[in-house]
Amino acid sequence: MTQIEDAAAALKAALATVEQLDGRIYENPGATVTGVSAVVTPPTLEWGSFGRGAGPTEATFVVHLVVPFDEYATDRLYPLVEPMRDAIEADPLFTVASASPGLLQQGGTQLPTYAFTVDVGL
Amino acid sequence: MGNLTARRLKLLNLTIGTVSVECQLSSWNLDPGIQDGDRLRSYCPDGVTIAETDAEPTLQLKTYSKWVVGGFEDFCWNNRGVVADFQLDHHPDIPAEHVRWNGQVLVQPAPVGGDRGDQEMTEITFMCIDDPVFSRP
Repeated sequence: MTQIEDAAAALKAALATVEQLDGRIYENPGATVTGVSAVVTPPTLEWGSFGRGAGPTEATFVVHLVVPFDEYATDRLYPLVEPMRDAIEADPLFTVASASPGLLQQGGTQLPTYAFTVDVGL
Repeated sequence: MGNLTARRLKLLNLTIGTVSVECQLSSWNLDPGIQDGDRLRSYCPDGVTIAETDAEPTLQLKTYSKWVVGGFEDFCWNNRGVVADFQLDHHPDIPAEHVRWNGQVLVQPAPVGGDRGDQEMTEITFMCIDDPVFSRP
């Protein structure tokens, strides 16, 4: 497993502890997302070391908390933002510095989302 | 006709004391610390020279912090004020351009800390005891 796969697996494991998500964690951009769920997109990577084969030094994942596009969207988003952040930060690998609201194009539709920027220490 | 050679900084071998630093290293700068001397003139036709100065060589490093036993930060904090040998191999992968500096630095503990959520880095500038010796391995 590469460091990137390890980090992605650790991130999914952290998200799996969020009860309200009930294990609905998606990585496939074409998947049809139903209900309240998390979508993990591939990370931005940086290689900053002088060592030969030293691997990436920094990775930044964007984790989307998505909810159905309806009148309850904000009511569903607000109570989940802090538990999501706490679950991700519980792993010492990850820090969450910010989350921004938006729309995610997923499985052919747009869904309301909070996008967490997750910095990883590799 | 010559060809332009333009290099990027990619590989380096740097050992300070007992520690190989390169895998954690993100930035380095070996400054020979040459100071400009005063220009001295006299009244004879060739009466100009430049005063000698003392160089102040330094080795400046920025690393990704890794606090394992025997790591760079561990070495610095355990060897405050110790004089350690260093060897810096520049372009070790390019046979015709592989050059080396050997010297001694005065080891000091590096400052620690930063903003929450930032990548933890260690930045330190070591004073070299003598001028680093340039050679080709």
